Amino acid sequence: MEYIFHTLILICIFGTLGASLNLIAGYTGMLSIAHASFFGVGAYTAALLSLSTNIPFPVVTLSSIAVSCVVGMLLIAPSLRVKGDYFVISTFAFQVIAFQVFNNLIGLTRGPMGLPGIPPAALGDFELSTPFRFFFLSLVYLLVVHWIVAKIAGSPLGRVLTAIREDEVLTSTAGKCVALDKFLVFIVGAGIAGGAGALYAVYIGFIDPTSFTVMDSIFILSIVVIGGAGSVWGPFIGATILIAIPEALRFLGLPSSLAADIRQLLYGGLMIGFLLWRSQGILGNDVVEHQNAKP
Amino acid sequence: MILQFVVNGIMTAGPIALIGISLALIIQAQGFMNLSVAAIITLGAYFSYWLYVLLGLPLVISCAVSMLFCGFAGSIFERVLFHRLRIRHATSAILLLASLGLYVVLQALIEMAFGADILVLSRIAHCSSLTAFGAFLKPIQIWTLGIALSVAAGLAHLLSRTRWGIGLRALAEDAELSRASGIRSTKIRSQTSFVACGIAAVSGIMVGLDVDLLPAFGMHLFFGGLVVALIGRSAGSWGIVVAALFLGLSQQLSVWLIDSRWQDGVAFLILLIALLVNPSLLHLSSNPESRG
Repeated sequence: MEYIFHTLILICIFGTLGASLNLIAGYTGMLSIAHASFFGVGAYTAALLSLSTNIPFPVVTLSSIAVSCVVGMLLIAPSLRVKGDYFVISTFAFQVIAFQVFNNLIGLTRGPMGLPGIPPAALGDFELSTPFRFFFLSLVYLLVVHWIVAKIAGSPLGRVLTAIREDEVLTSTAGKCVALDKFLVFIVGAGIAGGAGALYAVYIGFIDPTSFTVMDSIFILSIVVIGGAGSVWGPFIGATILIAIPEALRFLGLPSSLAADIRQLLYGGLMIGFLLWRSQGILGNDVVEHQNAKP
Repeated sequence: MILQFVVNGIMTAGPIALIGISLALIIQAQGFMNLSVAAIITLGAYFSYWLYVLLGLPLVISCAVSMLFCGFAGSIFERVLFHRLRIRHATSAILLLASLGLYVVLQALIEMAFGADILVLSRIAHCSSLTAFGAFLKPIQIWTLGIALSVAAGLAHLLSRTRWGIGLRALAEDAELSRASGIRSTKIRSQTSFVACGIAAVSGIMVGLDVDLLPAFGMHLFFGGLVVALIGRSAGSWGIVVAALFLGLSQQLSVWLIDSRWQDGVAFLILLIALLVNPSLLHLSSNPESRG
């Protein structure tokens, strides 16, 4: 039973990450490969605060969100100068640098040795030390995040974001402050990813840089692509598929290294398959095709 | 000591320049940043390992066959995947995502076939080293640099003197206009993918002969190649070689002043600064989304 709740917690955490990237990439069209870096910043902030202070868990989470927002600002403020492939490259570069910081700033992060013994989350005297209890916390965070995404998507800001995705120049000429809206949505997305990182750190109890690599950013992006970019619940569906199916492989009794490779095959294969035959994902809008493009 | 760092910087420029040239060709022909080249680099080295170590073929033949195999693989991926996506009106963002998916698939297949442990392609690079003015250097590194310079020179010639080169430049400049002028974009893309992936495989093989093989080493090399391709491609293949030398020396300077662990970070910091401070340096004025 604990194993089932463990899987559900991972689905909630990665569903949240997918939802936050969906705001940035799905609704606004800013394809980012830096999301694992914000996830990592949140996780490291929570781990360091939990290990060195007695700050209550809600404050730790809020601190992780705040620090991730600031780091998001560091990336998006200069990156607003570039678009398209070059925006992707700038986020890619940022992700590589962030991994280097996690891995090499040994005095703070302990580098490849990671940070062990992170105390479990507690709300007052109520410890969330079992998967069953922690599941409800991650579920609440998932629901709150989806509520925020749905509110943003349904608001005038959401319509502007969709307009930016469809035609940024036209949106700008319509008098909308495109740069500010992109800036805001990116920071919100980074902050949510930081919160997910805090949950991950206190749940697993150990973090190291290998959880926050370029491949993890690609995984989060796959969640959005497969679940459906530009749809509120699409990333949750994507996270469920991409976490539950590989978990099911465990029951085949495969060696762990082979199971990991099959998992990667599955992520990549599904991503290519969806892009070829259903580019809008399972629940998403058709955000990736331009009818006026030529073959 | 300083001389050793300078020599190291120049020598590391060889494989980075080769990948940079390969990526610049890919960006010109395909119109997007094809991340699956990172897996092609790894594939080149591992396929050579299979032919040379496991099947016992001569080293030169193994490397040549591996290069051709990777060239064909790149060409097939262009035809089967990226061309089909273009027919379905995919944007460069979707093509980039597909290349990410392809990278993940190829990487997993390589790990399944060869395992995740360190493999040794050849000991030839481990056995000998030369000394020049007190600095050590390996013959394989000189060979790699020589190949990079030869490829840069050959490519500069091909791009300016052959129908393929002229077609490729036209395609990169304006895909729609080039099609209207009768240039067969599908054929040019396929041919260029063959050449570019072959060059990427050569880089992987040469690095594989110098250091040991690990499944992730292609992405590590790809990082440097991407930086020099973006910084140097506006000045042609020689610009990429110069950018590779600059990057190699910068990375060695970081080894000297900070720590060898920050080499990738330094490479990407240079890219990020170039990208954000002066986007025109990377020819960002052209809209990549408009490429067909």
